[in-house]
Amino acid sequence: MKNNIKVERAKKNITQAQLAEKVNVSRQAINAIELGKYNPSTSLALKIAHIFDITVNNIFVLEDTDWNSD
Amino acid sequence: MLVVEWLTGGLLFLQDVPIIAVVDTGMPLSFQAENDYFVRIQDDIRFELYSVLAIIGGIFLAFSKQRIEDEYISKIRLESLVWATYLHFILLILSILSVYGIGFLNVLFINVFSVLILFNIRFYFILLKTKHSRRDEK
Repeated sequence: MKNNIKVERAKKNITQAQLAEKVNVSRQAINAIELGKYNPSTSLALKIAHIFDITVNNIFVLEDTDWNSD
Repeated sequence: MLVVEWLTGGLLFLQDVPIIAVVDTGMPLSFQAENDYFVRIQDDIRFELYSVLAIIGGIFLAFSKQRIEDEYISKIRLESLVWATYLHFILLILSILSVYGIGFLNVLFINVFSVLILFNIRFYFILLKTKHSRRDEK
């Protein structure tokens, strides 16, 4: 799964720590999500989308490999 | 030298304390014919004290909430628990196959704490590692 969190953060000019504070998780969590090491829960994904004022589909994008792994 | 002896030094006043033993099997070579149940005995309770404190301390360290407890941290916690359990049994099998004689008591004793110790090491290692990873920070 790819994500555009880094791009969206740059647009809004906020750091990982600030985003983490807004959605009430640790900075480690945002970092891991951004690096693709961790898939957030649906509610956390919705919260992140809400902060950036876009839909979840615009932040998290499925890749071909997602269909056969996990 | 058994690990048990090495870990239970100090606090000499606890060396001879009257307690009630639910089961008292006696020591090897003490020629105690049968097990005693619910008997009053004098015992060195330092081993009991240290073991209970170590386990309670380990559990608090392992399962108390982090300052910001979120879904990512609970995922690390669960993964670490599974990882520690696997490693615990792998180490146990290896030591069963490689340690012989009375020294095997050391193996049994360490095994009491190994899940907690391994869990804490991995959990806090990953927390610290991700804490300092500033990679991709703006």
